[in-house]
Amino acid sequence: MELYKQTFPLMMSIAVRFEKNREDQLTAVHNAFMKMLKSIEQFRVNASFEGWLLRIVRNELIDAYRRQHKLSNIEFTELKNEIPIADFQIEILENTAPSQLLDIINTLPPASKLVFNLYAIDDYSINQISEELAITRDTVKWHLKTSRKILRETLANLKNPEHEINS
Amino acid sequence: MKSTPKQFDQLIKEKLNSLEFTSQASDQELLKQKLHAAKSKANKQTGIKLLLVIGICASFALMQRYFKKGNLQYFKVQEISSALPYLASEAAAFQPKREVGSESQATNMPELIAHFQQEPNSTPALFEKLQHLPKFPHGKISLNGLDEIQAPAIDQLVKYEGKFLQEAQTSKQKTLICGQSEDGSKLIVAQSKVAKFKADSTLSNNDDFGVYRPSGLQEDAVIQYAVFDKKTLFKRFQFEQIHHGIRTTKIAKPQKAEKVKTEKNKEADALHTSNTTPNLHVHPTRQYLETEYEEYTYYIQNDSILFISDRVNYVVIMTPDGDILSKAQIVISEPYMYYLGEKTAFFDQATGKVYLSVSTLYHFNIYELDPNNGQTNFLISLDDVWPDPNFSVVNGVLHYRKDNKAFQQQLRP
Repeated sequence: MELYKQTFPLMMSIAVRFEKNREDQLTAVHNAFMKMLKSIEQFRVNASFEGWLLRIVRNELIDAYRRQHKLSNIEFTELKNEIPIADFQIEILENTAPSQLLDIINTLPPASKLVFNLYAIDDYSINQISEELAITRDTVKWHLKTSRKILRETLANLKNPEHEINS
Repeated sequence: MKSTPKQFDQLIKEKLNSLEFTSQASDQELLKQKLHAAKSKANKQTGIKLLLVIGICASFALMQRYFKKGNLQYFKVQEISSALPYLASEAAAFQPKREVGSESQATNMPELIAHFQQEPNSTPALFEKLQHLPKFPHGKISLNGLDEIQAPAIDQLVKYEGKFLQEAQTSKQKTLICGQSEDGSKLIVAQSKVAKFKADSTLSNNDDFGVYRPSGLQEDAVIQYAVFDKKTLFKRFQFEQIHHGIRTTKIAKPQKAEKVKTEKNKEADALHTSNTTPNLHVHPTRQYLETEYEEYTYYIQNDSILFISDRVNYVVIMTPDGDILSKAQIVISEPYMYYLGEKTAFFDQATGKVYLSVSTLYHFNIYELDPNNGQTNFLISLDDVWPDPNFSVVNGVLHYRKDNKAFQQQLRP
């Protein structure tokens, strides 16, 4: 249990970005933890434990997504009031609380959220995401673009509630 | 300040990384439950695997024990399963003596006897049913160490028209015999089978197939016989060979356009009357000369009868029921011979192998024949050619006579 207590924050920090419900987050964390215990013999002593554990959690989350959704069936979301990237004020993001930002990220469509998380937070390349999720590079780019648009609009709405989002 | 996508992503990353999480007691409890469930699932799977292995081992051991104890019982089950239901009671013959008198088997016998009395034994339909009768097991077989069955030797029992068979060949165990009637027109194949029903005591001269129990044969056995017209049977071998694409005789050249009848060839034609021209079967693409009748010598090989044509050109394998299992032309190709003289075939009763001797200009060559495809395997070449060598092979050793002296030579296996 000591190991669990120590690794829990790290595992949970990823799970909260991918899953909306706490129940799903915990399921993913627990599954990853059990996988880690099962395959602890495969861990090389000179490698980074954190990196290894994060990879297990990420793979578990991707697998969970695969079980629930089909990546090929993407619903393209049209935005009504699109804000050009140049017009977005970075100060809005700076002034947003991390927990609020997490809630906004969780409003993204599942496929877009997965791609955005992997690219922006977990430093995956477009090629890696494309291979991992078996989708084309263009689809990955589209998801990134869509995610950023939704996030910018939602953040702008926090400042100026006149904007409407069709999500 | 305006932002680029990279700055935007970077800022989000920093913000999210600043979040901190701690595990609660309820989370740990949940994990404990999950770990416990996984452990019990793994135990369950191991238990199932262990049970499966034990089950397989036990059934294997049981099977071993079963076959060791009485392979005759296995034989019985195998045979009876394919037989007609009413013949199932015949399995009694395979039971140990103390079981033969048991009530369940005895109750079936009157029905069986009644059935056979109602139906005439000679009908072909009945013969088909009788084909399923189990054969007598070869040799002495022990039944759970309690009793022994000796297959009856039928070579001294089978008679046709009151006479023993001529030129008879028997199997090693004497349970199968093949021979000719006294006048040589019929070929009789007889085999001992397990059956306890009522049967005639003599072989019927009017029927081609049937069963009978001659005096001297044990009560739980019958002799199943088939009588073939020898000429028809041998012609059938040859006819079917032609239609299986094997050339038995010379292929006639296609008929040429009619010659212009000149005075000269008219005279020549007058000398060759139509009686001397061969009878041709006209076929759009092929023309065959009518098959020449050839006699066959026969041997018993395991449970089949092996026929080799007298000029050692063809080999046929037939079941005792008259089904042809294989037919082939005997091929002698190696070593290359300029002259191929007389060929003779001889059978080694001990090993069940067929050998051929072929005389050339300077040697006798000895071959082993594969009856299934007619292929020959060259074994040895003797130094000379002489009249009446009287070749025979006994247990893989070639015996022959030369200048009134007996010689023998081991043939390689």
